[in-house]
Amino acid sequence: MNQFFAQKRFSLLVLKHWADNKKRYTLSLLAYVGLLITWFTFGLIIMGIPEGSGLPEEVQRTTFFFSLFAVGTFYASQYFSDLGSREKGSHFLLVPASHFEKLLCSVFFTMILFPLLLIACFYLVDIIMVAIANSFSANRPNGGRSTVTNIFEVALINFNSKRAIYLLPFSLSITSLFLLGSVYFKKYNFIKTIITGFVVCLLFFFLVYVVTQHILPEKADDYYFSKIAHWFPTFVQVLAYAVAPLSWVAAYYVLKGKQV
Amino acid sequence: MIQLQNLSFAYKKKLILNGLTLDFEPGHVYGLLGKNGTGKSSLLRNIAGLLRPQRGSIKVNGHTPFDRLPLFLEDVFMVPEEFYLPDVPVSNFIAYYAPFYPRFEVEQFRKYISIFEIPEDNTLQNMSYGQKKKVLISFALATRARVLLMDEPTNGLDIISKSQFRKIMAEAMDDDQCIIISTHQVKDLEHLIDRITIIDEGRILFNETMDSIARKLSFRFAHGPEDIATAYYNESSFGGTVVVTHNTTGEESKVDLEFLYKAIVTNPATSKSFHQ
Repeated sequence: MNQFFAQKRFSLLVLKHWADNKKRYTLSLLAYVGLLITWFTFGLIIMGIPEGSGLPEEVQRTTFFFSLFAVGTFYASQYFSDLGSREKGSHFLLVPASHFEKLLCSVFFTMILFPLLLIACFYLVDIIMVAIANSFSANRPNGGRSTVTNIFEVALINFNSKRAIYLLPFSLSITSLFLLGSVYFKKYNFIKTIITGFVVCLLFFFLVYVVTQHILPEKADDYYFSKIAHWFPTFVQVLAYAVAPLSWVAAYYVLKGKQV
Repeated sequence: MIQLQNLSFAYKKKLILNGLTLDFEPGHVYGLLGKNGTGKSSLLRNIAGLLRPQRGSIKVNGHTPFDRLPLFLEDVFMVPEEFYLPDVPVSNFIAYYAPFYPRFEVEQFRKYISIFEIPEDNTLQNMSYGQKKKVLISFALATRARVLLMDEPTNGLDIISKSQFRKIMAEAMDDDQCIIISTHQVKDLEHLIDRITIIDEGRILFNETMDSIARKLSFRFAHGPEDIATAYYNESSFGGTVVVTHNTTGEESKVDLEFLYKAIVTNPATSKSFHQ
């Protein structure tokens, strides 16, 4: 059997991970659904129904993306946290599967299954809550109708009508960084990843400052920037999405060199 | 089966294993003895692929352990002193973990846990440390892995369980298997071990078969003061003074691992006598 990747071993690994964590995952999803219902109900009671605003799309989008980023990054940062413990780390590393399969399993759970289940749970609650909001606004003379938001078209940056960085796929890049932090740091993975990210951002901004103030010509006006405008969006777009696969490659090598 | 070549390992700057060269062959049960902190567990973890040697090399069935290839991992099983088991019933543990080991024998596993009197429908997290250890030992033996590494396997087992453990081990051992047991509780495993390896200060202090020990050394009560004076080791006990001495009669006595260990560690002449 191939020592790098074998479908059979990967399936066994996914099944094993699910069997070990199904109780925790099921309870977490139920808690998420419960929190969503509570939050939307609270919003409707406080503002939506009295003011007739129903359930605005901004509220729906903010709710979804806040939960996607907050829960997704925390979940990813916990995935390999077992490696910080000698007992759990030994248990994890000695399972007869390759490092690649173990990493792929983590990507499957944190980047595929988790967002899919989160989206499913979100729309399950959102569609019902929007219907409830509309049933109330229908009884009011000036009540506007709420619509179910489309989370797939929310963009972080819109360069033009054809080119944008969409928030949903971009969230995978951020989650991937936390997955890398999870395998790299021994303890306090979540906090340490945030601090590292903060430091990297500061350095990046400093670099941008140095480039714009000291390296670019003094007369770098709009015309100057328009000359780079044709490749700059592509560059930013590739950079935004490339973080995910680059983080996986880094995580693979960190996992391969892990000692417990 | 396992070849260590000039193996050195350090935790940060503290040298734990210092240039070990040693072979472990199939068909033997090795007893790994040594003081606390002399590197027994580190050696097992190096062999299992959990730690990477700083210098030298390890080969296990032709594999470099730290590569942790699936083919290597399915043929090497480690029972650590402190271990983790998931929060699932024993039946689920078998259903989801056993398929990783191609030679796993489910019926043997059931037999072992029934000897250990472990109910199969219990959840692992609700079990005591000793019960969990028995499940892990049963699982380890049922994998039919050719290399079994056990770190203090009898720690946490009650008196009855220790004898059950010996019974199961004696029954499960195969000629193509190499079992290395690191322990301080030598009395528990006296009848299982057929080769003794003592590590001290990161080096191999002693490495002999039980047959050779029984031929070269004599473990008995002292016949008189002269006997005590010439012994490698002596210790007063209820029946008189026990000595570990050179076997001059050719009559083989029962090897007492505790006394052997004390003789080796306290008197370098004991191990030297094996090379004369």
